[in-house]
Amino acid sequence: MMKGTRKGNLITGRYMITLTCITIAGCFLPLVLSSYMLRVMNIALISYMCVLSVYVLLGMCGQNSFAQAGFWGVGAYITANCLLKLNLGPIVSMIIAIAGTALFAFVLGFAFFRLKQYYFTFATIGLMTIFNGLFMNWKEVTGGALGISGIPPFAIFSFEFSNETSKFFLIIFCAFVVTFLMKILFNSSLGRQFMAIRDNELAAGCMGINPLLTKSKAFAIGGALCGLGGALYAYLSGYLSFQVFTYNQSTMYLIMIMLGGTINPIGALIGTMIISLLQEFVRPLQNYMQLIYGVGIMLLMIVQPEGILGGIKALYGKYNERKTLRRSEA
Amino acid sequence: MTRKLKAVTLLLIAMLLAFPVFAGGNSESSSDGPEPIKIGLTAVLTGDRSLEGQYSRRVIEIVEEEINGSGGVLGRPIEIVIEDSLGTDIGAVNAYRKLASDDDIVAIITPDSSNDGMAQSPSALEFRILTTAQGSSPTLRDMCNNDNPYLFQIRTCDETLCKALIDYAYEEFGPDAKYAVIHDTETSSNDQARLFTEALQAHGVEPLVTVPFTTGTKDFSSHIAIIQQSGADVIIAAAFQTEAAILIQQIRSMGIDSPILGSNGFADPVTIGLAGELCDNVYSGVQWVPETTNPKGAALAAEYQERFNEACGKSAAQVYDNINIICEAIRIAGTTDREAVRDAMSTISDYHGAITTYDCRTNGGCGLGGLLVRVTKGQAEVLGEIISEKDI
Amino acid sequence: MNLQLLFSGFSTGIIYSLIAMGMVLIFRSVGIMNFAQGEFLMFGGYFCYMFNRLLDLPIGLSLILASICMGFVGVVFMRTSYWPLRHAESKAIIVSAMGASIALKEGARLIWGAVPVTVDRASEGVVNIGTAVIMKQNIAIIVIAFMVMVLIYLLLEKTFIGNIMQATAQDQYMASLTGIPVIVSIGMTFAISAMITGIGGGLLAPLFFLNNTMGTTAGAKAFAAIVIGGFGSVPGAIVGGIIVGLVEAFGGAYISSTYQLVLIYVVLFIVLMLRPQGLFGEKIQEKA
Repeated sequence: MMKGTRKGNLITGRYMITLTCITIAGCFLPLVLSSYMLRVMNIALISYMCVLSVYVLLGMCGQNSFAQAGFWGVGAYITANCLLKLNLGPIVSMIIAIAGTALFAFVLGFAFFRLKQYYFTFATIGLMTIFNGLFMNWKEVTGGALGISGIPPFAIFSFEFSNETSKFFLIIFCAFVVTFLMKILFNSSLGRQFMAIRDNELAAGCMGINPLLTKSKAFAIGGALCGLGGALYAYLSGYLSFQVFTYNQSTMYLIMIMLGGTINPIGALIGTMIISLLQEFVRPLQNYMQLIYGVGIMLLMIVQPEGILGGIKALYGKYNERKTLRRSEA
Repeated sequence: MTRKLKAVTLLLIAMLLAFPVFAGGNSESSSDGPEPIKIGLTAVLTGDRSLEGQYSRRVIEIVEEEINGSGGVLGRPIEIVIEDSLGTDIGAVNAYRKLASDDDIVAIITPDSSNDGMAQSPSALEFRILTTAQGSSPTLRDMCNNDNPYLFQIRTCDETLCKALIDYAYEEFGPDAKYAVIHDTETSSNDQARLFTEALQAHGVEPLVTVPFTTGTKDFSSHIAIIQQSGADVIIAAAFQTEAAILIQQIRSMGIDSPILGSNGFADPVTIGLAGELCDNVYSGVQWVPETTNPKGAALAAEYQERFNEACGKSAAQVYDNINIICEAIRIAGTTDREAVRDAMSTISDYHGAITTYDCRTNGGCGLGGLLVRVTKGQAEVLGEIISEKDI
Repeated sequence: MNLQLLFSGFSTGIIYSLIAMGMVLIFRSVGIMNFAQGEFLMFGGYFCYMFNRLLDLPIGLSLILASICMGFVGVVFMRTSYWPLRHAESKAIIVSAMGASIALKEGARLIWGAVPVTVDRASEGVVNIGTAVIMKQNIAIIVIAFMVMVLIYLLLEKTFIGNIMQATAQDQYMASLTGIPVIVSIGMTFAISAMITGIGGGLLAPLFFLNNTMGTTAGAKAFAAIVIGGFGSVPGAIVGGIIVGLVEAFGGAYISSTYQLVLIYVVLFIVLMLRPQGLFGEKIQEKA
């Protein structure tokens, strides 16, 4: 028992060091990047939070949802409405967005998780369509198809995060905190319940886990992550419209996590960065850009079916195997 | 998979990760002669709305040749740098920022959508660079007028065109005609339907029914049934080309011959190409048809038709005018300094373009007019020019 | 009005059935949903356009040639985006199909341009039945779709090739032990699936016109049809498609025209809440 706990701490320690190193390295990015690439990074980090929600649902809990971009939109629109119509402060708005989206997802989870496997996945496609329909047509709340403009930037007391660099620091800080919380979740009993359900739902039920409640909790955590992403997106862009929160965006999240690897948040980060940069990288191809992008996704998937992180892990495993083999030979 | 393929992929990924550091660097300047003046254009080259991008990409060829052939601007040739806006806010803003990060870019043109223009507006303020918007929404006009001195709407506002068409219809069909409205819920069609209704109400006429539908709807039988039940004898419709053509086809095949008052998309060459003679008896207040009576416009349409063997679309004419008007501003400013060009832009008061006359003394709704069009025998026929006054 | 709605809802529904049937065939054979099925529809339409308008062949011949071309597209699609991943998780296959879907959409735009196009109708004019008006093209679609469905039934149930395909669908490993070339069998399934969806595209083109994104919305509705009908069931796909068509027509007229697509999914939720395995589906067994 003692040994197990210590090993857990060790892993968390190594994880923390990696995470801190990546974050600190990330903090130097504004020095080398143009304002354009910085925006790309900002959007990528926001996508990363939504991809993390897919990680919780798919990677931990084994449930594939296509509605995450919808929840992202819910978070963004809640933030905009709190700021502009209710005149709440930026921090309060953000907290309401996170909590509101989480609660919303939790309630929906109870209805949707009555469905299993494919049926759940396709029900979430339907949910995504409904979300997009509402974003486009519900004039009172979402401003209709024209959207909401003039959202002020995030501010703490009198300090405004108005330029791209300060927004970047805000977002990377949030990403850091969220990734850290993911690890805590992973090691918590709730996280283990998620994984028990992923591996075998029936057996998990036999152990006294309530699958419906637990899966709804996963949905709620996913909702909270998307809510945070949505709030940050609203502050970043200052303008919201239905064009962004689409089914295509949701499929993008799945592509990102599958390319990176579903085993831990670093995989989500790798996948997000690769897809976001790939999209900008193929820009000079202009007319051919999306074609190459689509083929690129296919190729990456075929070469690395377990995601890039999965591939690296397999390589590492092979290396270790060889080392022990050599040692035993000697 | 073979190890080679794996190595190639890893190399690709490494290149990707190293890319952001080198990106945004300026292109190598190897040309002899004076440096070209660069103008940015964000357009939807790929994805759902890529028709717009095809027009934009092609017309650039014509504009560059035309301007550079006649000595360029300030003695320097111009070069249009085009970036893909992907048809989403994020794509539009990324494309915009990529262009704006290049110090040589003097001005930037937004995609043909009010949404994209509004999404790019905060970036325009941040970079302080002249931006001409192709969107035609009144909301975008108000944004240009009140919030953002760098954003100019180089297009006739929908309000002018919708009002002109309804005024004409009121004259033509008499005060007793009964109207029904059907429209797409996407941004511009939604706006246009509202403006049509408001213009009708100004005459004291209330439409019998308003039937909205979602973009991508293909089967309009239920919508048409509602209109049929209402007993309307004039149909007002707002939609983009493909939906417009499907709608016309289905309305006509149900045996309804009543006149259709349509938005831009209804007299578009693409729509007429798809639905053919079924488009007869369609009236529209448009920015542009290739059959335009404007001499500059007619020359452009002929040139485009000859070069690409394809009718010149609205986006092509718009991009043509946008580029020309920016060049005019640069000429007036006498320099390529971004601030000076913006200031010069707001002095242009009477510029004759291919579509209409432009007055940029206030930022919103710079285009003053358009064309009133009726389709007969599968041909758009210009009934008259619409021209409005701008009160400064 | 009701008669009109009934007819048009039914004829649009049949098209969704056709796409849904193509998806179900693949699902039964390899156990994954094909996320690029809508693009098969679009490609079929464009092939038909190429033969009919660019090479000036009659529409009947164009449809046949287009479906043969689609057979090849199906095989190539299988070989590139499914076969290398056949041992991987189904999620990986879904992602590669999504990549393929983007590539197919953009490929079509590069080949045939962004301007929407159309093809000839199989038959011109309209028919009056009572108060309803129906385009002859719609009737042609119903007839051809019915013929295709019968042919598929005969192929799967009455022929040797059908037996091979069914055996592979049930257990790939066992099938390979009995000497069935699995790759050929799966390739056949993909080819047939692409062919029937492709014919749908050619028939739809004169009604809905062709552009490179036409497959997306049609594909989404076919998904709904499959879920309502129950995964893996061919009759379910057909009935589901018709239900979707009817809901669209009647819901649009009586409930809300704005939220037509939303209504379809609301019906889907109601069906799933009452019957979590869909109308014709078998109950999902949880593996212990």
